[in-house]
Amino acid sequence: MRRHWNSTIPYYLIVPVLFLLLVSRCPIESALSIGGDDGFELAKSLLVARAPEAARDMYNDQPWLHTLVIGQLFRWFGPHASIPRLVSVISALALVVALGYLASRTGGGLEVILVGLFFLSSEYITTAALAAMVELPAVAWAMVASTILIASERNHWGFRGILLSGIMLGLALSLKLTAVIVIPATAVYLLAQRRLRAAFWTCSAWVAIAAACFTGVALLSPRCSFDELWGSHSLARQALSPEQMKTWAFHGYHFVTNPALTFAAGLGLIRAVRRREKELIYATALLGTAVVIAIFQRPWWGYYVIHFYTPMSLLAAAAAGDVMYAVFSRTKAFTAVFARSAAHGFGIEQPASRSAMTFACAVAGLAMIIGLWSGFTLPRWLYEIGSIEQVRRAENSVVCRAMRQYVTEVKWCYTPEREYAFHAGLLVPPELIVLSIKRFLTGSLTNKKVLEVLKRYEPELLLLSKRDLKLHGELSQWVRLNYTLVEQEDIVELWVRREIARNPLGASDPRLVAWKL
Amino acid sequence: MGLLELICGIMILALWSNLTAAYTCTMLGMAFISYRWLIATFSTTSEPCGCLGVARSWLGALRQYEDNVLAATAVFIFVVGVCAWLREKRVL
Repeated sequence: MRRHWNSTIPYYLIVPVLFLLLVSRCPIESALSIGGDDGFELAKSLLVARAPEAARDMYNDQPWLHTLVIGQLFRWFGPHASIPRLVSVISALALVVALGYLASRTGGGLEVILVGLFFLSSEYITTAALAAMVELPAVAWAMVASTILIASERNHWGFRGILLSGIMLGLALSLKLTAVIVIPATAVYLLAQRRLRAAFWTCSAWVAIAAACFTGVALLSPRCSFDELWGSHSLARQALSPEQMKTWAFHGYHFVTNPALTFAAGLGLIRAVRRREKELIYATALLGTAVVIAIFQRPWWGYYVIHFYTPMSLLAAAAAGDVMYAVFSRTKAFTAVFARSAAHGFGIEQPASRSAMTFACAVAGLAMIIGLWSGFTLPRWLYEIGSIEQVRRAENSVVCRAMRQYVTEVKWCYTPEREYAFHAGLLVPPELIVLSIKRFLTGSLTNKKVLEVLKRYEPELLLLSKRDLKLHGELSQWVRLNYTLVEQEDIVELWVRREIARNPLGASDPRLVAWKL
Repeated sequence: MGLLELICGIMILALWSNLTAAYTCTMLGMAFISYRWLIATFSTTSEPCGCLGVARSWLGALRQYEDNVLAATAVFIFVVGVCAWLREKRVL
C-alpha cells in the first residue's frame, strides 16, 4: 500500500498547483469581503486578538476554535485578512488530498486528478476556499479525520490511528458542527470493513475521542453556550414562516448548474451499487447524509452545497476514470502514463477486451462529461474566479480610507458591514459582530436592543446603510443627534461622533449643499 | 448550431462509417433544430394554452442556459468525432 501511495504522489500535486495558479491573482489580502460571512470571522478574530477581555461578551453561534487560532495568528503576524483566507486555502487543498486518497483506492492517479478537478471546479468551492469562513475548513478537516481512520483500518495502525483521527474530528467539530456529517458514512465504511462488534467499538472510540476533544476546546473557549451553539439554530427553524421555509429550503438548481458532476456522479452511483467498493459505499453514504440534512435543514444556505460536492466528486471521479480507461486503454501514450492506475483500477495488467457497444457507450459517456464540464462548469468556474479578482479592495474604498484616519481616536465602531471595520483596524462591539438573520428571526436581537447596546458602548464611528437609517426611525434620530456624516460610498454612510468629526460631508460635498442637507 | 451537428453526423457516416457517432450527431442536430423552431414559434405566442404555457416555461428555463448547452453540445460532438476518427485509425 505504501508503495502505491508513493507512486501516486505526483498526481496529488497537479490539481492543487493548477488551482493555486488560477487563483494567484485573487486579492486575498486586500479584498474587502470574499463570500457571505467573511466579515463575521475577520471581525471576531480581530476582537479576540485586540481585546480578549471583551470576547466573553461576544455573541458567537459557532464553536470558537477558528476565532481563537486566527486571533492568535493576528497577534503574531498582525491583522492580515490573508491569514484566515490562507487557512481556508490550505483546508481546501487538504480536502483535495483526502479525496484523492479515497479516489486512488477505487482507481489510481487518474482518479486522484479527476476528483480534485471535479471538486475545486464546483460552484462556490473556489469562493469558500478563499474566504475567511468556517464551512469549508470544518468539512475539510472532518474528511481528513475520516480518511485517516479509513487509512488506519486498511494499514492496521491500531489505536494510534483511531486516536489521531478522533482528535482531528474533534478539532473539525470545534470549527463548525457541520463536521458531524462524516460520522454516518465512516460508520458505514467500518461496517463494510469489519465485523459488527469490532466496527461498533472502533466507531464508538472514535466518536468518544472526538467528543472529548470538542469538549476540551469548548472549555478553553472564552464562553461556551449551548443555546448560542445549537439552540439559536433550532429556534430559527421554528420561527420561520411557511414562505420563509420555502425560500430557505434546499433547491435542486445547484445540480443543474453543475451537470457534468451530477451526470458523472450518477454513473458513479451505478458503479457503487454494482461493484460495492467500500470507498464508493462510503461516498454514497456521505451523499445520503447530505440529502437527509438538506431536506430537514432550515434555513439552508447556498454554501452548504459543499456537503454534496464532496461525495459527488468521489463518485464522479470513479465513473469518469472508468470511461477514460474504457476509451483509452489501448492507447500507448495513455497506458504509459496511467499504466499502474489502469492495472489497479481493473485489477489486470493488460487492457480489457471490449465490445463495440462498450466502446461506443464509453465514448458517449466521456463526451458527455467533457462536454457538460466545458459548457457549464468551466465558464462558471472562470467567472467565479474573475468575480473574486474584481471584488472591491480596501484601498479603493473611500469609506475605508476615511475610517483609517480616525483609528487613533476610536475604540469602537459599529457597522453591519464588518469587513470595513476590520480593514480599517477597528473593533465592533462584541454583542453586535454577529448580526445574523437567525438572531432577528428568533427575536434574540431587535432593532431596539441594537440601539440599547449602541448607547452603552457609544461607538465613535458608525458605518450604516441608508436603508438601516430609513427603516429604523429611533436609530436614525439618535445618530443625527450625536453624529456627523463625514463620508459616503454607494449605499453606506460613515458617521463620526460630533466631538471628533472632521470635514463633515455637508460642508464640502456640493451635492449635499445643492440638496440642502 | 443544429445544422452543424447534422453536417458533422453525415460527415462521420460518410467518411468513417461510424454508425453510433453519426446517429448521435444527427439526432443532436435534429434536436437543436427542433428546439430553435419551438423557441421561434412559442416565444411569439401572446396567450398560449395550458400545454403551450408549460412548454414555454420549460423552453424559457432552457434558454437561460442556452449558451452553456450550445458550448456543451459543440464539445460533445467534437469529442465523439475525434474518438470516431481515432477508432477508424485504430489508435483507440
